[in-house]
Amino acid sequence: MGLLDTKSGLHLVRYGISADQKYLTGEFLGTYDVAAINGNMVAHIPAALAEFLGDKATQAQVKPFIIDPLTHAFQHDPSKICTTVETEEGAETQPKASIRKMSDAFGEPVASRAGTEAVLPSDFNDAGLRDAFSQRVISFQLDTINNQAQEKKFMKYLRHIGIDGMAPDVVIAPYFWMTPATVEEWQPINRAFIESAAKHARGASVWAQLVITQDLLLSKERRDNLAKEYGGSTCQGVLIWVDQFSEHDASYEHLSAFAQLAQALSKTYSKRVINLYGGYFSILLCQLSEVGVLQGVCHGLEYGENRSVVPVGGGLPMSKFYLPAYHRRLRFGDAVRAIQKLGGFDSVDRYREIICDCVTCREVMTGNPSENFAAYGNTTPIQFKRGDQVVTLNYPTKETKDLCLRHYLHNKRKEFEASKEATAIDASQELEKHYEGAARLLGASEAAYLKDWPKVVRGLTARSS
Amino acid sequence: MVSLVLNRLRDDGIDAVPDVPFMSRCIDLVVFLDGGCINVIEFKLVDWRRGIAQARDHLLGADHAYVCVPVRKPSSSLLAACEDSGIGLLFFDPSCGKPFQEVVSARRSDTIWPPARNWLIQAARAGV
Repeated sequence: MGLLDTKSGLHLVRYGISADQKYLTGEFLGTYDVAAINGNMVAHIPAALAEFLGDKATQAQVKPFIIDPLTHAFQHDPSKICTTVETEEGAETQPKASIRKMSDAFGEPVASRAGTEAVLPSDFNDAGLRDAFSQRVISFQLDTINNQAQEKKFMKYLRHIGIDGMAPDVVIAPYFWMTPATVEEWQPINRAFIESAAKHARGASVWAQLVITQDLLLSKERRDNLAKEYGGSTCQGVLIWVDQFSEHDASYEHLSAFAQLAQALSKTYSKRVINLYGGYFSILLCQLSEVGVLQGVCHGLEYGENRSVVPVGGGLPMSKFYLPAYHRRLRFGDAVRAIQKLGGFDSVDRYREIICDCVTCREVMTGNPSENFAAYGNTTPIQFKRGDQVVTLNYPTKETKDLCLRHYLHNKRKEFEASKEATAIDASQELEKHYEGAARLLGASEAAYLKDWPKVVRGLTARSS
Repeated sequence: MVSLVLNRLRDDGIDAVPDVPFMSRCIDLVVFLDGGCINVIEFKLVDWRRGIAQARDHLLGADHAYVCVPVRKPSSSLLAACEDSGIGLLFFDPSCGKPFQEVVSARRSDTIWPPARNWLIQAARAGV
Protein backbone atom coordinates (compact mmCIF):
# COMPACT_ATOMS: atom_id res chain seq x y z
CA MET A 1 0.00 0.00 0.00
CA GLY A 2 1.39 3.37 -1.00
CA LEU A 3 0.99 6.81 0.48
CA LEU A 4 -1.82 7.58 -1.94
CA ASP A 5 -3.71 4.57 -0.59
CA THR A 6 -3.27 5.38 3.06
CA LYS A 7 -2.40 8.95 3.98
CA SER A 8 -4.80 11.91 4.15
CA GLY A 9 -4.07 15.54 3.39
CA LEU A 10 -1.50 14.48 0.82
CA HIS A 11 0.54 17.19 -0.85
CA LEU A 12 1.64 16.32 -4.38
CA VAL A 13 3.75 18.54 -6.62
CA ARG A 14 3.95 18.15 -10.37
CA TYR A 15 7.34 17.60 -11.97
CA GLY A 16 6.54 18.95 -15.42
CA ILE A 17 9.85 19.94 -16.95
CA SER A 18 13.54 19.49 -16.07
CA ALA A 19 13.77 23.04 -14.74
CA ASP A 20 11.21 22.14 -12.06
CA GLN A 21 13.67 19.79 -10.37
CA LYS A 22 15.48 22.66 -8.65
CA TYR A 23 12.29 23.38 -6.70
CA LEU A 24 11.61 19.77 -5.76
CA THR A 25 14.96 19.01 -4.15
CA GLY A 26 17.18 20.61 -1.51
CA GLU A 27 15.23 22.90 0.79
CA PHE A 28 11.97 21.83 -0.86
CA LEU A 29 12.37 18.04 -0.75
CA GLY A 30 10.62 17.79 2.58
CA THR A 31 7.87 20.28 1.79
CA TYR A 32 5.68 17.85 -0.17
CA ASP A 33 4.73 14.19 0.04
CA VAL A 34 4.74 12.87 -3.51
CA ALA A 35 6.22 13.99 -6.84
CA ALA A 36 3.81 13.62 -9.77
CA ILE A 37 6.07 13.21 -12.79
CA ASN A 38 4.95 13.77 -16.36
CA GLY A 39 5.28 10.63 -18.47
CA ASN A 40 7.15 12.38 -21.25
CA MET A 41 9.86 13.39 -18.77
CA VAL A 42 10.14 9.78 -17.63
CA ALA A 43 10.59 8.71 -21.24
CA HIS A 44 13.10 11.47 -21.91
CA ILE A 45 15.37 11.57 -18.84
CA PRO A 46 14.77 8.38 -16.82
CA ALA A 47 18.35 8.21 -15.49
CA ALA A 48 18.26 11.79 -14.21
CA LEU A 49 14.90 11.12 -12.57
CA ALA A 50 16.23 7.99 -10.88
CA GLU A 51 19.08 10.11 -9.53
CA PHE A 52 16.66 12.80 -8.32
CA LEU A 53 14.32 10.32 -6.62
CA GLY A 54 17.20 8.47 -5.02
CA ASP A 55 18.83 11.68 -3.89
CA LYS A 56 18.10 10.74 -0.31
CA ALA A 57 18.96 7.09 -0.75
CA THR A 58 21.78 7.17 1.76
CA GLN A 59 19.21 8.32 4.31
CA ALA A 60 17.29 5.15 3.53
CA GLN A 61 14.42 6.64 1.57
CA VAL A 62 13.23 7.18 -1.95
CA LYS A 63 11.03 10.18 -2.64
CA PRO A 64 7.56 8.77 -3.29
CA PHE A 65 6.43 9.42 -6.84
CA ILE A 66 3.72 8.67 -9.36
CA ILE A 67 3.97 8.87 -13.14
CA ASP A 68 1.20 10.54 -15.12
CA PRO A 69 1.25 8.58 -18.41
CA LEU A 70 -0.34 11.53 -20.26
CA THR A 71 -2.14 9.19 -22.67
CA HIS A 72 -4.63 11.98 -23.39
CA ALA A 73 -1.87 13.82 -25.28
CA PHE A 74 -2.53 11.58 -28.28
CA GLN A 75 -6.22 12.44 -28.61
CA HIS A 76 -5.78 16.16 -29.39
CA ASP A 77 -4.86 18.03 -32.55
CA PRO A 78 -1.50 16.37 -33.40
CA SER A 79 0.18 19.75 -33.86
CA LYS A 80 -0.13 20.26 -30.08
CA ILE A 81 2.55 17.63 -29.45
CA CYS A 82 4.80 18.62 -32.34
CA THR A 83 7.71 20.92 -32.82
CA THR A 84 9.40 22.27 -35.94
CA VAL A 85 12.93 21.06 -36.60
CA GLU A 86 15.40 22.05 -39.29
CA THR A 87 16.40 19.14 -41.51
CA GLU A 88 18.46 18.94 -44.70
CA GLU A 89 15.19 19.11 -46.65
CA GLY A 90 14.07 22.20 -44.72
CA ALA A 91 11.75 22.77 -41.79
CA GLU A 92 9.86 19.68 -40.71
CA THR A 93 7.15 19.16 -38.13
CA GLN A 94 7.79 16.22 -35.82
CA PRO A 95 6.49 14.99 -32.47
CA LYS A 96 8.55 16.41 -29.62
CA ALA A 97 11.37 14.01 -28.76
CA SER A 98 10.03 13.26 -25.27
CA ILE A 99 6.54 12.54 -26.65
CA ARG A 100 7.98 10.33 -29.38
CA LYS A 101 9.85 8.24 -26.82
CA MET A 102 6.69 7.90 -24.75
CA SER A 103 4.53 6.92 -27.73
CA ASP A 104 7.13 4.34 -28.78
CA ALA A 105 6.96 2.84 -25.30
CA PHE A 106 3.15 2.75 -25.39
CA GLY A 107 3.02 1.15 -28.85
CA GLU A 108 -0.13 0.89 -30.95
CA PRO A 109 -2.51 2.50 -31.53
CA VAL A 110 -0.65 5.68 -30.51
CA ALA A 111 2.89 5.01 -31.82
CA SER A 112 2.02 5.21 -35.51
CA ARG A 113 -0.32 8.17 -35.06
CA ALA A 114 1.69 10.44 -32.75
CA GLY A 115 2.11 13.79 -34.42
CA THR A 116 0.16 12.84 -37.53
CA GLU A 117 -3.38 12.02 -36.46
CA ALA A 118 -5.39 12.01 -33.24
CA VAL A 119 -6.44 8.70 -31.68
CA LEU A 120 -10.18 8.10 -31.52
CA PRO A 121 -12.25 5.82 -29.30
CA SER A 122 -12.74 3.48 -32.25
CA ASP A 123 -8.98 2.83 -32.30
CA PHE A 124 -9.45 0.95 -29.02
CA ASN A 125 -12.43 -1.18 -30.01
CA ASP A 126 -10.35 -4.36 -30.09
CA ALA A 127 -10.18 -5.79 -26.56
CA GLY A 128 -6.84 -7.49 -27.18
CA LEU A 129 -5.24 -4.30 -28.47
CA ARG A 130 -6.71 -2.35 -25.56
CA ASP A 131 -5.32 -4.82 -23.06
CA ALA A 132 -1.86 -4.83 -24.64
CA PHE A 133 -1.81 -1.03 -24.69
CA SER A 134 -2.80 -0.95 -21.06
CA GLN A 135 -0.07 -3.43 -20.17
CA ARG A 136 2.60 -1.32 -21.90
CA VAL A 137 1.43 1.88 -20.20
CA ILE A 138 1.59 0.18 -16.79
CA SER A 139 4.98 -1.42 -17.52
CA PHE A 140 6.30 1.97 -18.58
CA GLN A 141 5.42 3.33 -15.13
CA LEU A 142 6.74 0.32 -13.23
CA ASP A 143 9.98 -0.23 -15.14
CA THR A 144 11.37 2.89 -16.83
CA ILE A 145 12.80 4.63 -13.78
CA ASN A 146 13.43 1.39 -11.91
CA ASN A 147 15.60 0.00 -14.73
CA GLN A 148 17.78 3.11 -14.53
CA ALA A 149 17.92 2.97 -10.74
CA GLN A 150 19.38 -0.53 -10.83
CA GLU A 151 22.53 0.97 -12.37
CA LYS A 152 22.93 3.58 -9.65
CA LYS A 153 25.41 3.27 -6.81
CA PHE A 154 22.87 4.28 -4.22
CA MET A 155 20.91 1.08 -4.83
CA LYS A 156 23.36 -0.79 -2.62
CA TYR A 157 22.20 1.33 0.33
CA LEU A 158 18.60 0.74 -0.54
CA ARG A 159 19.05 -3.01 -0.94
CA HIS A 160 20.72 -3.03 2.45
CA ILE A 161 17.46 -1.87 4.00
CA GLY A 162 15.29 -4.11 1.88
CA ILE A 163 14.35 -1.74 -0.95
CA ASP A 164 14.98 -3.49 -4.26
CA GLY A 165 13.97 -0.77 -6.64
CA MET A 166 12.11 2.41 -7.39
CA ALA A 167 8.47 1.66 -7.92
CA PRO A 168 5.86 4.39 -8.23
CA ASP A 169 3.58 4.80 -5.24
CA VAL A 170 0.63 3.69 -7.39
CA VAL A 171 0.16 3.15 -11.13
CA ILE A 172 -2.32 5.06 -13.26
CA ALA A 173 -4.45 3.33 -15.87
CA PRO A 174 -4.44 4.78 -19.40
CA TYR A 175 -7.04 7.52 -19.70
CA PHE A 176 -8.57 9.90 -22.18
CA TRP A 177 -10.25 13.26 -21.72
CA MET A 178 -14.02 13.33 -21.81
CA THR A 179 -16.26 16.17 -22.97
CA PRO A 180 -20.07 16.20 -23.24
CA ALA A 181 -19.63 15.29 -26.90
CA THR A 182 -17.27 12.37 -26.32
CA VAL A 183 -18.10 11.00 -22.87
CA GLU A 184 -20.35 8.23 -24.14
CA GLU A 185 -17.59 6.87 -26.36
CA TRP A 186 -14.59 7.35 -24.07
CA GLN A 187 -16.14 6.37 -20.75
CA PRO A 188 -16.46 2.62 -21.43
CA ILE A 189 -12.93 2.58 -22.87
CA ASN A 190 -11.50 4.39 -19.85
CA ARG A 191 -13.33 1.93 -17.60
CA ALA A 192 -11.94 -1.02 -19.57
CA PHE A 193 -8.42 0.42 -19.17
CA ILE A 194 -8.84 0.42 -15.38
CA GLU A 195 -9.86 -3.24 -15.30
CA SER A 196 -7.12 -4.17 -17.71
CA ALA A 197 -4.46 -2.23 -15.77
CA ALA A 198 -5.33 -4.20 -12.64
CA LYS A 199 -4.31 -7.39 -14.42
CA HIS A 200 -0.87 -6.03 -15.29
CA ALA A 201 -0.03 -4.04 -12.18
CA ARG A 202 2.14 -6.75 -10.57
CA GLY A 203 0.67 -6.04 -7.17
CA ALA A 204 0.84 -2.26 -7.43
CA SER A 205 -2.23 -0.26 -6.54
CA VAL A 206 -4.12 0.94 -9.63
CA TRP A 207 -5.64 4.41 -9.76
CA ALA A 208 -7.84 5.98 -12.41
CA GLN A 209 -7.42 9.44 -13.81
CA LEU A 210 -10.72 11.18 -14.51
CA VAL A 211 -10.21 14.06 -16.91
CA ILE A 212 -13.32 16.03 -17.81
CA THR A 213 -14.62 19.40 -18.92
CA GLN A 214 -16.30 21.75 -16.47
CA ASP A 215 -19.69 21.35 -18.11
CA LEU A 216 -19.70 17.62 -17.33
CA LEU A 217 -19.59 18.61 -13.67
CA LEU A 218 -22.75 20.67 -13.72
CA SER A 219 -25.19 17.98 -14.81
CA LYS A 220 -26.17 15.88 -11.80
CA GLU A 221 -27.09 12.98 -14.04
CA ARG A 222 -23.70 12.98 -15.72
CA ARG A 223 -21.90 13.49 -12.43
CA ASP A 224 -23.74 10.57 -10.87
CA ASN A 225 -22.97 8.45 -13.89
CA LEU A 226 -19.24 9.26 -13.68
CA ALA A 227 -19.21 8.52 -9.96
CA LYS A 228 -20.99 5.23 -10.54
CA GLU A 229 -18.69 4.20 -13.38
CA TYR A 230 -15.40 5.08 -11.68
CA GLY A 231 -16.69 4.21 -8.23
CA GLY A 232 -17.75 0.80 -9.43
CA SER A 233 -14.40 0.03 -11.02
CA THR A 234 -11.59 -1.90 -9.37
CA CYS A 235 -9.31 1.13 -8.96
CA GLN A 236 -8.17 2.11 -5.47
CA GLY A 237 -8.49 5.80 -6.08
CA VAL A 238 -9.27 8.50 -8.60
CA LEU A 239 -7.13 11.44 -9.65
CA ILE A 240 -9.49 14.16 -10.88
CA TRP A 241 -8.50 16.79 -13.43
CA VAL A 242 -11.19 19.25 -14.51
CA ASP A 243 -10.13 21.23 -17.56
CA GLN A 244 -9.17 24.85 -16.73
CA PHE A 245 -10.86 24.60 -13.35
CA SER A 246 -9.65 27.63 -11.46
CA GLU A 247 -10.94 27.43 -7.91
CA HIS A 248 -10.60 31.22 -7.70
CA ASP A 249 -12.68 31.92 -10.80
CA ALA A 250 -15.17 29.03 -10.70
CA SER A 251 -18.77 29.79 -9.78
CA TYR A 252 -20.29 28.50 -6.57
CA GLU A 253 -22.25 25.99 -8.67
CA HIS A 254 -19.07 24.60 -10.25
CA LEU A 255 -17.23 24.44 -6.92
CA SER A 256 -20.14 22.70 -5.29
CA ALA A 257 -20.52 20.24 -8.19
CA PHE A 258 -16.81 19.40 -8.03
CA ALA A 259 -17.02 18.74 -4.29
CA GLN A 260 -20.11 16.59 -4.77
CA LEU A 261 -18.42 14.46 -7.43
CA ALA A 262 -15.39 13.96 -5.19
CA GLN A 263 -17.61 13.21 -2.23
CA ALA A 264 -19.67 10.67 -4.17
CA LEU A 265 -16.52 8.81 -5.20
CA SER A 266 -15.06 9.02 -1.73
CA LYS A 267 -18.03 8.42 0.50
CA THR A 268 -20.47 6.43 -1.61
CA TYR A 269 -17.91 4.30 -3.40
CA SER A 270 -15.04 4.35 -0.87
CA LYS A 271 -12.50 5.53 -3.41
CA ARG A 272 -9.64 7.73 -2.40
CA VAL A 273 -9.75 10.97 -4.38
CA ILE A 274 -7.04 13.50 -5.23
CA ASN A 275 -7.45 16.74 -7.18
CA LEU A 276 -4.61 16.82 -9.70
CA TYR A 277 -4.72 20.60 -10.16
CA GLY A 278 -6.02 22.36 -7.10
CA GLY A 279 -5.37 25.12 -4.61
CA TYR A 280 -6.48 26.11 -1.15
CA PHE A 281 -10.12 25.21 -1.77
CA SER A 282 -9.02 21.62 -2.35
CA ILE A 283 -6.92 21.75 0.81
CA LEU A 284 -10.07 22.77 2.68
CA LEU A 285 -11.85 19.78 1.16
CA CYS A 286 -9.04 17.55 2.45
CA GLN A 287 -9.76 18.83 5.95
CA LEU A 288 -13.29 17.49 5.79
CA SER A 289 -12.21 13.99 6.65
CA GLU A 290 -15.42 13.29 8.56
CA VAL A 291 -17.38 14.14 5.41
CA GLY A 292 -15.02 12.36 3.04
CA VAL A 293 -14.21 14.51 0.02
CA LEU A 294 -10.54 14.67 -0.97
CA GLN A 295 -7.48 12.86 0.33
CA GLY A 296 -4.92 15.01 -1.45
CA VAL A 297 -4.13 17.87 -3.78
CA CYS A 298 -1.52 18.26 -6.48
CA HIS A 299 -0.29 21.52 -7.98
CA GLY A 300 2.37 22.59 -10.42
CA LEU A 301 5.07 25.14 -9.80
CA GLU A 302 4.04 28.07 -11.96
CA TYR A 303 0.36 28.85 -12.33
CA GLY A 304 -0.12 25.19 -11.51
CA GLU A 305 -3.36 25.24 -9.55
CA ASN A 306 -5.40 24.76 -12.70
CA ARG A 307 -4.53 23.57 -16.16
CA SER A 308 -5.96 23.31 -19.61
CA VAL A 309 -6.13 19.73 -20.92
CA VAL A 310 -5.34 20.82 -24.47
CA PRO A 311 -1.93 22.50 -24.32
CA VAL A 312 -2.08 26.23 -24.85
CA GLY A 313 0.57 28.86 -25.52
CA GLY A 314 2.44 30.45 -22.65
CA GLY A 315 1.42 34.10 -22.86
CA LEU A 316 3.46 36.94 -21.46
CA PRO A 317 5.22 36.17 -18.18
CA MET A 318 4.16 38.47 -15.39
CA SER A 319 5.28 39.00 -11.81
CA LYS A 320 2.79 37.51 -9.40
CA PHE A 321 2.98 37.30 -5.64
CA TYR A 322 1.13 34.67 -3.61
CA LEU A 323 -0.70 36.59 -0.90
CA PRO A 324 -1.18 34.09 1.93
CA ALA A 325 -4.17 35.91 3.43
CA TYR A 326 -6.06 35.66 0.13
CA HIS A 327 -4.61 32.23 -0.80
CA ARG A 328 -4.04 33.36 -4.36
CA ARG A 329 -1.40 34.76 -6.64
CA LEU A 330 -1.95 38.44 -7.31
CA ARG A 331 -0.53 40.59 -10.05
CA PHE A 332 2.35 42.40 -8.45
CA GLY A 333 0.62 45.81 -8.44
CA ASP A 334 -2.43 44.32 -6.75
CA ALA A 335 -0.20 42.61 -4.20
CA VAL A 336 1.47 45.94 -3.36
CA ARG A 337 -1.92 47.63 -2.92
CA ALA A 338 -3.21 44.75 -0.80
CA ILE A 339 -0.15 44.89 1.46
CA GLN A 340 -0.45 48.68 1.73
CA LYS A 341 -4.07 48.27 2.75
CA LEU A 342 -3.32 45.55 5.26
CA GLY A 343 -0.55 47.66 6.79
CA GLY A 344 2.16 45.21 5.84
CA PHE A 345 4.68 47.89 4.95
CA ASP A 346 4.48 49.55 8.38
CA SER A 347 7.39 47.54 9.74
CA VAL A 348 9.19 44.24 9.20
CA ASP A 349 7.49 42.80 12.28
CA ARG A 350 4.10 43.85 10.98
CA TYR A 351 4.88 42.35 7.56
CA ARG A 352 5.84 39.05 9.16
CA GLU A 353 2.78 39.09 11.36
CA ILE A 354 0.09 39.84 8.82
CA ILE A 355 1.59 39.15 5.39
CA CYS A 356 4.12 36.34 5.49
CA ASP A 357 6.97 34.97 7.56
CA CYS A 358 8.06 32.19 5.22
CA VAL A 359 11.73 31.33 4.76
CA THR A 360 11.97 33.44 1.60
CA CYS A 361 10.24 36.48 3.08
CA ARG A 362 12.51 36.29 6.12
CA GLU A 363 15.49 36.45 3.76
CA VAL A 364 14.04 39.32 1.73
CA MET A 365 12.39 41.50 4.36
CA THR A 366 15.36 42.67 6.36
CA GLY A 367 15.03 46.42 6.87
CA ASN A 368 12.57 48.68 5.12
CA PRO A 369 9.68 46.38 4.12
CA SER A 370 8.41 48.71 1.40
CA GLU A 371 11.80 48.84 -0.29
CA ASN A 372 12.63 45.20 0.40
CA PHE A 373 9.37 44.03 -1.17
CA ALA A 374 10.51 45.41 -4.53
CA ALA A 375 12.64 42.25 -4.83
CA TYR A 376 9.41 40.38 -5.67
CA GLY A 377 8.62 42.76 -8.52
CA ASN A 378 11.91 43.60 -10.22
CA THR A 379 11.67 43.51 -14.00
CA THR A 380 13.80 44.06 -17.03
CA PRO A 381 12.54 45.70 -20.25
CA ILE A 382 12.26 43.48 -23.31
CA GLN A 383 11.43 44.73 -26.79
CA PHE A 384 9.39 42.70 -29.24
CA LYS A 385 7.35 43.29 -32.37
CA ARG A 386 3.56 43.45 -32.20
CA GLY A 387 2.36 43.85 -35.76
CA ASP A 388 4.40 46.70 -37.24
CA GLN A 389 5.15 48.26 -33.88
CA VAL A 390 8.07 47.65 -31.56
CA VAL A 391 6.68 47.30 -28.04
CA THR A 392 8.65 47.38 -24.80
CA LEU A 393 7.33 45.48 -21.83
CA ASN A 394 8.84 44.64 -18.48
CA TYR A 395 9.47 40.98 -17.77
CA PRO A 396 10.24 39.63 -14.31
CA THR A 397 13.94 39.00 -13.80
CA LYS A 398 15.22 35.47 -13.20
CA GLU A 399 15.88 36.35 -9.55
CA THR A 400 12.37 37.74 -9.12
CA LYS A 401 10.76 34.64 -10.60
CA ASP A 402 12.88 32.50 -8.31
CA LEU A 403 11.90 34.47 -5.20
CA CYS A 404 8.19 34.45 -6.08
CA LEU A 405 8.26 30.70 -6.67
CA ARG A 406 10.16 29.94 -3.48
CA HIS A 407 7.76 32.09 -1.48
CA TYR A 408 4.83 30.26 -3.12
CA LEU A 409 6.19 26.79 -2.36
CA HIS A 410 6.93 27.60 1.26
CA ASN A 411 3.40 28.90 1.63
CA LYS A 412 1.87 25.79 0.09
CA ARG A 413 3.71 23.72 2.66
CA LYS A 414 2.38 25.97 5.40
CA GLU A 415 -1.16 25.63 4.09
CA PHE A 416 -0.98 21.84 4.19
CA GLU A 417 0.56 21.88 7.67
CA ALA A 418 -2.02 24.34 8.99
CA SER A 419 -4.81 22.22 7.52
CA LYS A 420 -3.87 19.42 9.87
CA GLU A 421 -4.33 21.63 12.91
CA ALA A 422 -7.45 23.65 12.10
CA THR A 423 -10.91 22.59 11.02
CA ALA A 424 -12.24 23.54 7.61
CA ILE A 425 -14.93 25.60 9.30
CA ASP A 426 -12.33 27.65 11.21
CA ALA A 427 -10.29 28.11 8.06
CA SER A 428 -13.43 29.18 6.20
CA GLN A 429 -14.18 31.86 8.77
CA GLU A 430 -10.65 33.16 8.33
CA LEU A 431 -11.22 33.43 4.57
CA GLU A 432 -14.46 35.32 4.98
CA LYS A 433 -12.74 37.97 7.10
CA HIS A 434 -10.75 38.99 4.05
CA TYR A 435 -13.65 39.18 1.60
CA GLU A 436 -14.50 42.85 1.98
CA GLY A 437 -10.91 44.06 1.77
CA ALA A 438 -10.23 41.88 -1.26
CA ALA A 439 -13.50 42.92 -2.92
CA ARG A 440 -12.66 46.60 -2.49
CA LEU A 441 -9.25 46.00 -4.01
CA LEU A 442 -9.97 43.50 -6.77
CA GLY A 443 -13.70 43.91 -7.33
CA ALA A 444 -16.48 41.77 -5.91
CA SER A 445 -16.43 39.15 -8.65
CA GLU A 446 -12.67 38.58 -8.33
CA ALA A 447 -13.01 38.17 -4.57
CA ALA A 448 -16.18 36.04 -4.63
CA TYR A 449 -14.21 32.85 -3.96
CA LEU A 450 -13.57 34.08 -0.42
CA LYS A 451 -17.31 33.71 0.20
CA ASP A 452 -17.99 30.77 -2.11
CA TRP A 453 -15.36 28.37 -0.72
CA PRO A 454 -16.72 28.64 2.85
CA LYS A 455 -20.27 28.25 1.52
CA VAL A 456 -19.37 24.96 -0.18
CA VAL A 457 -17.57 23.74 2.94
CA ARG A 458 -20.58 24.56 5.13
CA GLY A 459 -22.94 22.90 2.65
CA LEU A 460 -20.95 19.65 2.73
CA THR A 461 -20.73 19.71 6.50
CA ALA A 462 -24.44 20.41 6.91
CA ARG A 463 -25.44 17.64 4.52
CA SER A 464 -23.40 15.11 6.46
CA SER A 465 -24.80 16.02 9.88
CA MET B 1 -3.72 60.04 -30.90
CA VAL B 2 -0.65 59.54 -28.67
CA SER B 3 1.81 61.11 -31.06
CA LEU B 4 -0.46 64.11 -31.75
CA VAL B 5 -0.88 64.81 -28.05
CA LEU B 6 2.83 64.23 -27.45
CA ASN B 7 3.78 66.75 -30.14
CA ARG B 8 1.37 69.34 -28.83
CA LEU B 9 2.69 68.91 -25.27
CA ARG B 10 6.28 69.20 -26.43
CA ASP B 11 5.39 72.26 -28.50
CA ASP B 12 4.16 73.78 -25.25
CA GLY B 13 7.51 72.94 -23.62
CA ILE B 14 6.11 70.14 -21.48
CA ASP B 15 8.35 67.14 -20.76
CA ALA B 16 6.49 64.03 -21.93
CA VAL B 17 7.62 60.48 -22.77
CA PRO B 18 5.56 57.92 -24.73
CA ASP B 19 5.41 54.11 -24.30
CA VAL B 20 7.00 53.74 -20.91
CA PRO B 21 7.19 50.16 -19.59
CA PHE B 22 5.98 50.12 -16.02
CA MET B 23 5.64 46.98 -13.93
CA SER B 24 3.75 44.53 -16.15
CA ARG B 25 2.19 47.22 -18.33
CA CYS B 26 3.24 49.92 -20.77
CA ILE B 27 2.09 53.49 -20.08
CA ASP B 28 1.01 55.37 -23.22
CA LEU B 29 2.29 58.74 -22.05
CA VAL B 30 4.16 59.95 -18.97
CA VAL B 31 4.09 63.71 -18.37
CA PHE B 32 6.59 65.38 -16.03
CA LEU B 33 5.26 68.65 -14.63
CA ASP B 34 6.97 71.39 -12.70
CA GLY B 35 7.48 70.61 -9.03
CA GLY B 36 8.19 66.93 -9.61
CA CYS B 37 4.59 65.96 -10.29
CA ILE B 38 4.17 62.96 -12.60
CA ASN B 39 0.95 62.41 -14.56
CA VAL B 40 0.22 59.44 -16.79
CA ILE B 41 -2.27 59.09 -19.61
CA GLU B 42 -3.81 55.97 -21.16
CA PHE B 43 -5.32 56.53 -24.61
CA LYS B 44 -8.35 54.53 -25.63
CA LEU B 45 -10.34 54.59 -28.86
CA VAL B 46 -12.57 51.85 -27.48
CA ASP B 47 -12.85 49.94 -24.17
CA TRP B 48 -12.38 52.82 -21.75
CA ARG B 49 -12.99 50.37 -18.88
CA ARG B 50 -9.71 48.66 -19.69
CA GLY B 51 -8.07 52.09 -19.82
CA ILE B 52 -9.30 52.86 -16.31
CA ALA B 53 -8.04 49.50 -15.00
CA GLN B 54 -4.63 50.16 -16.56
CA ALA B 55 -4.50 53.74 -15.31
CA ARG B 56 -5.35 52.58 -11.80
CA ASP B 57 -2.27 50.35 -11.80
CA HIS B 58 -0.08 53.31 -12.73
CA LEU B 59 -1.05 55.13 -9.54
CA LEU B 60 1.60 53.16 -7.65
CA GLY B 61 4.14 55.36 -9.42
CA ALA B 62 2.32 58.44 -10.69
CA ASP B 63 0.62 61.33 -8.92
CA HIS B 64 -2.35 61.45 -11.27
CA ALA B 65 -3.65 59.09 -13.93
CA TYR B 66 -5.96 59.90 -16.83
CA VAL B 67 -7.81 58.13 -19.58
CA CYS B 68 -7.93 60.05 -22.85
CA VAL B 69 -10.68 59.27 -25.39
CA PRO B 70 -11.80 60.98 -28.61
CA VAL B 71 -14.15 63.86 -27.94
CA ARG B 72 -17.76 62.74 -27.52
CA LYS B 73 -20.74 63.14 -25.25
CA PRO B 74 -19.51 61.23 -22.18
CA SER B 75 -21.75 58.42 -21.00
CA SER B 76 -22.92 58.50 -17.41
CA SER B 77 -21.14 55.19 -16.78
CA LEU B 78 -17.82 56.60 -18.02
CA LEU B 79 -18.19 59.66 -15.80
CA ALA B 80 -19.20 57.55 -12.81
CA ALA B 81 -16.27 55.15 -13.32
CA CYS B 82 -13.85 58.07 -13.39
CA GLU B 83 -15.37 59.65 -10.28
CA ASP B 84 -15.30 56.34 -8.39
CA SER B 85 -11.75 55.40 -9.31
CA GLY B 86 -10.17 58.81 -9.08
CA ILE B 87 -8.93 58.47 -12.65
CA GLY B 88 -9.22 61.68 -14.65
CA LEU B 89 -10.92 61.95 -18.05
CA LEU B 90 -9.44 63.80 -21.00
CA PHE B 91 -10.98 64.42 -24.40
CA PHE B 92 -8.84 64.61 -27.49
CA ASP B 93 -10.15 66.78 -30.32
CA PRO B 94 -7.85 66.84 -33.38
CA SER B 95 -9.48 70.03 -34.65
CA CYS B 96 -8.74 71.86 -31.43
CA GLY B 97 -5.30 73.35 -30.93
CA LYS B 98 -4.95 72.20 -27.32
CA PRO B 99 -3.39 68.84 -26.44
CA PHE B 100 -6.62 67.78 -24.73
CA GLN B 101 -9.56 68.98 -22.69
CA GLU B 102 -9.86 67.95 -19.03
CA VAL B 103 -13.42 66.71 -18.43
CA VAL B 104 -12.92 65.08 -15.03
CA SER B 105 -10.02 66.02 -12.76
CA ALA B 106 -7.87 63.18 -11.44
CA ARG B 107 -7.51 62.68 -7.71
CA ARG B 108 -3.97 62.58 -6.36
CA SER B 109 -2.76 59.03 -5.82
CA ASP B 110 -2.90 57.77 -2.25
CA THR B 111 -1.12 54.54 -3.16
CA ILE B 112 2.25 55.80 -4.37
CA TRP B 113 4.82 53.15 -3.56
CA PRO B 114 8.39 54.56 -3.55
CA PRO B 115 10.05 51.66 -5.42
CA ALA B 116 7.42 51.90 -8.16
CA ARG B 117 7.91 55.66 -8.38
CA ASN B 118 11.64 55.09 -8.94
CA TRP B 119 10.97 52.39 -11.53
CA LEU B 120 8.65 54.77 -13.41
CA ILE B 121 11.16 57.63 -13.43
CA GLN B 122 14.04 55.35 -14.47
CA ALA B 123 12.03 53.75 -17.27
CA ALA B 124 10.81 57.07 -18.60
CA ARG B 125 14.27 58.63 -18.51
CA ALA B 126 15.75 55.59 -20.22
CA GLY B 127 13.24 56.09 -23.04
CA VAL B 128 13.86 59.81 -23.58
